[in-house]
Amino acid sequence: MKHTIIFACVGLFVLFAGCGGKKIESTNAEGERRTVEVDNIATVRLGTASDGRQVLLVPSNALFMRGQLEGVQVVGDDDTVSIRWVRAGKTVGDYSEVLSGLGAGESVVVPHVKGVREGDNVTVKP
Amino acid sequence: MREGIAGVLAKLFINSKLTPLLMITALLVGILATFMTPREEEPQISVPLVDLYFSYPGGSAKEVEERVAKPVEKYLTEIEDVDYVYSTSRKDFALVTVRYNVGDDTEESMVKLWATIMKNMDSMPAGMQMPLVKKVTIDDVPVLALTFWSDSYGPYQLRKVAGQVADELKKIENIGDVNLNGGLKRQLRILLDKEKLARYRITPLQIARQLKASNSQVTAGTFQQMNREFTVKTGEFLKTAEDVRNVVVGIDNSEAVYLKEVAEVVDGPEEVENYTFFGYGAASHDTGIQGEYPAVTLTVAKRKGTDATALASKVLEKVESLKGSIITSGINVTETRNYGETASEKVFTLLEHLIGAVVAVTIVVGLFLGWRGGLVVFASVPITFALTLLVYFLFDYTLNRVTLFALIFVTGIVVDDSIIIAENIHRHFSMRRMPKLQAAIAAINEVGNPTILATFTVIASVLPMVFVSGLMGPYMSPMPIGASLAMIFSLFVALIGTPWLAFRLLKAEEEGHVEQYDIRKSIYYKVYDKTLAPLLDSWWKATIAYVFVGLLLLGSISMIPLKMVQLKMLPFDNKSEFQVIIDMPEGTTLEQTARVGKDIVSYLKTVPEVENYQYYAGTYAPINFNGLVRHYYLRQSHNMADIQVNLVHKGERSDQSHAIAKRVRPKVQEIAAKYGANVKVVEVPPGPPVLSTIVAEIYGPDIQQQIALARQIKAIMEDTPGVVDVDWMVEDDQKVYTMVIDKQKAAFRGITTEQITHTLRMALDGVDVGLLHTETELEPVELELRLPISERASILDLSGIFLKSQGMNSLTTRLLAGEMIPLTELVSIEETIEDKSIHRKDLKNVVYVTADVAGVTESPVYAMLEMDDVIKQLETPGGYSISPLYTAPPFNEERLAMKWDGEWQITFEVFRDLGAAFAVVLVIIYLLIVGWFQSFRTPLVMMVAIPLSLVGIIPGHFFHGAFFTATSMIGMIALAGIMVRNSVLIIDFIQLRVQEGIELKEAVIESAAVRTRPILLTAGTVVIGAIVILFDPIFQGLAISLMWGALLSTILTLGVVPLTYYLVEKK
Repeated sequence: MKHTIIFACVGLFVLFAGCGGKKIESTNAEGERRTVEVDNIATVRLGTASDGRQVLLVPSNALFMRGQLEGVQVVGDDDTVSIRWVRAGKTVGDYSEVLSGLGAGESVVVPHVKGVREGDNVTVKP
Repeated sequence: MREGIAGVLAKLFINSKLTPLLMITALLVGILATFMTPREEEPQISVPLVDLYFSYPGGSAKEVEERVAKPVEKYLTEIEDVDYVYSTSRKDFALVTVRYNVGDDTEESMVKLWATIMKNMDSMPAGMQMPLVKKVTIDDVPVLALTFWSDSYGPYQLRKVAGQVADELKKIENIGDVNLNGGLKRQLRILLDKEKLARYRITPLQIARQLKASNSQVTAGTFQQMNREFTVKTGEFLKTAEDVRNVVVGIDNSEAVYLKEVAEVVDGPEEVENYTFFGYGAASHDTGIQGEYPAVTLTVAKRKGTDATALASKVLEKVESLKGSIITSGINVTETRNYGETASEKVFTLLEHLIGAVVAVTIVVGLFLGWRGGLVVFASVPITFALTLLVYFLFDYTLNRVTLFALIFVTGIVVDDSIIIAENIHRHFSMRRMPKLQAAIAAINEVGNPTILATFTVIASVLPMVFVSGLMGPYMSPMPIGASLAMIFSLFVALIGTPWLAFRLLKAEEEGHVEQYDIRKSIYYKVYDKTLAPLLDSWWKATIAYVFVGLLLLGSISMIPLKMVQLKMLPFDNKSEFQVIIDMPEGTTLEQTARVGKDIVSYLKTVPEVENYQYYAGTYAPINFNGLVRHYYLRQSHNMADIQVNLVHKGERSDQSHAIAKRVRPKVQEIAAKYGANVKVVEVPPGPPVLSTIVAEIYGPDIQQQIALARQIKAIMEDTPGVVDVDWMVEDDQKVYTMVIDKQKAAFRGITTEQITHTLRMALDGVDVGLLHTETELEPVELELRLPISERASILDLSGIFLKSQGMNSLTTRLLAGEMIPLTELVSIEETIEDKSIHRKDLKNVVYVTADVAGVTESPVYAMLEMDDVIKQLETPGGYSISPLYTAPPFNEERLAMKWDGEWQITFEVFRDLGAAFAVVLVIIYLLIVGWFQSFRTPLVMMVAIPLSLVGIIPGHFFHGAFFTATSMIGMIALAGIMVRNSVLIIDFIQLRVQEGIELKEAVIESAAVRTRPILLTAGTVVIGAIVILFDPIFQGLAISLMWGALLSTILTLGVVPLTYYLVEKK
């Protein structure tokens, strides 16, 4: 009994491992880490509003809408993109106040590029 | 020869034409009942939980506790049958949860509760609103969840589509609650423009009043004319955004001011209040789809007592038919929960186990008695089960894992009656002393009555389990009931059906084989003659035998304190889901919470077993039974997020869900630590849900001291290996701005406090000023008046917010009514810390520290014992030491005290009740045998066998590396019945032989030899029946108990019982 079960487990594991392997290949074929060229990468900066409170600012054209959700494309340490949902406040000139979702010093793609997916590599256009 | 009921019954039915008809009928109704009984996964448990929501606007947490929670608790505990009362007092609000004794009639409890609340309404503080009373039932748990997700549509459109689908689904019969999680509702947002308001001299309060006033329509009445009646309607509802825009909100310079001039009216999605996303994991078959998609989850609950499987398939069929019409292309629907399917699967797996057990048992019997004997036994089992299933159906039980468990549990036992009878008929046939018919009846007469007695001893051993109290009760009670029913039916089958079948199927030995069957020639007799006889002759050999058995017993029992076998209430089942519960510090924004959720998910989706996931930030994931008891449906704050992780089917993965959860936990915790989040990996518990596996309740005279102690205990838990997911129910400090109103100034300007508070609430939180009366929308569309989000961030400067003086009306000012007064003049801002929630349990203030166990120790008891030593060394302000309590909360609260709760509490209750049940079992068995043998001494000899089962059970758990669980305990109790039954069979035969005039010593050896075969056979069937469930994570304990217990104790019983009987009767 036990032997059969162990065999079955081993068999399943082999099957499973096989599946996994194939899967990774197919993702590689299709979703190989793309590198996308973007116009600019800006840093979220700390500003001061007219009433003296501290605010986080990003260029307004970094913000994009997906359905009803507002987001920015954040560039991580390893130059990969991730999407971050944010809540935007007032617009001041070319900049928008970010009420929540971003921290000072983070980098965002400016202007946002359509079709960039999470995990893509970005480089700034020369 | 005595002729008992058994003989009479056998004589009546052995040649009756009715017998086969009865058997076939029983089989057919049983099969019918199996298909008609509703199937579900969890047993129908009436969790007698009622939530009472008391709203007391404006009260601080302390005030809510004193004015609302305390008096309410006091009068609720007066209600009969109330088990526990818990309360949580927050600012403005108290939640009181009442738990009744499990199994109480919920309707009756609700009536009592209402009556008590109403009786005491007069003593409630003014300003408290009518409480909301919500009964929590297991049927609130959705059985099906469908996640609508899309690459091209946003949460607003998704919710709309899901809403339409929900509306269609409601038309299916037997459907329960249909709910939507996530997405954005349609809302008419009226965004105030501060500057324009000031320019036109309009205040927000005025707008609210005007909107409410103009959104009205009534039937004015009727009039008659020319023999006809006409109805007159007046007024008009606001139906579109345009209507709202054109509402006149005031007059400025003798010109009408329209709402559109002072505010922006947006008809569309509400402000983002949740982030709900769906994505595929590494194990998904849709490999091309990556990333995450906005999602809305539609959940379907079922009505009480209906079949989850049938409902789920109907819903899915309906959804399929809606594709193309309501569910347009671009919207994907993924099944993210289907308890119907899992229930069906569980039921069928268990049925398979059942059939497997029956077949295995038949083969064993066949080996001993030949294929004809096997067939006799094989036929009797389905009839027994068919009848039991019929009773389940008639008594409104559902087919679930507990009711089926009862059947599996008794498979090895119900065949026994048939085996004993068939075996004895077989033996008598082979002895060829009488003609066939007489031989059969004589055989039945010989074992019939002890069989009846034996059946009742087994029933007596399982039936007291009905009295297990607490939440575990409903999990346990179907078992003794089902098992007892099956035993009774098996007895009837054995006495009516088996003789009929055996008489026709069993053959006497072949013609050539003329030699008479003689027990003295059998191998059993030879073995006994070699081993047992010397013991009977010499007292010192007997003593050595007893010492040997005694040592075995002691050695086995000592495995428990030596931790070679660990105790645990119930092991984890292999489920296909788990949840991750994220709590950010209070005051975290929704986006930050969503970010943590997203980060954790991006790890989880790389786990090879994950099929898909959904995360819900700001709202709760579809709840399960565990979430129901833990109140996860209240998790709707910005700082909370739930992740639902669905694993691939258990057939496609090698690891059990518990192992996977254990594996992902460290990494998840690591990500959470980066953000300061508290994260728990929550699995579906196999038994009754509790607040947390480990709960430390800290009582004391003063909340600050309690929190200080809780902090120390929390630190101890974090340092204890094996203790994970540590959390406490003390909120972090959250900064609050209090706007302090200068009452005097306000009075001089003709402004009331109410005006100020309402205006500010409108500006920040928004107020609903009515509904848009559209005729096409399914969900109500609210009109919300609020400042735009960009303005709210700078609310603290208060600039531009005006109030209108009430003028002479206020009796405190000489200003003209309508004078615009800036808010800045009237309030000043103070920064404070938000009130913390106050928790109470059974009228005592308590601070909870919670944790789970995984890894080093899987059983909370050992972790608790380990922590006890450290906790005892803690210093308290009073200079005394804390010794954790285990069974009851402290008697008074003068000193700090701590009590363990959580799974331990249920474990304690279950083992206590089972222990008590066991004691009752022993007494009943004793009474039964005294009644039968009319001796006070003989029963004690028979009961000597009971402790011997431990010799098998405990080492058995050690060899399998398994926990000694509640199901092990059930196995042990049932074994008591089986062991006594074996003894009864031996001793009854000894007495029979002695009556026939054979010498005692010879009678003992002979009886032991004669009864060895049926006893080994019945033990064999128990073992074989148990092997089938050995690999089920939950029933493993039962299987081990039955297998090893039956095996070893049978062997020991066959030696010890005849020996003891001989020594006692020798004189």
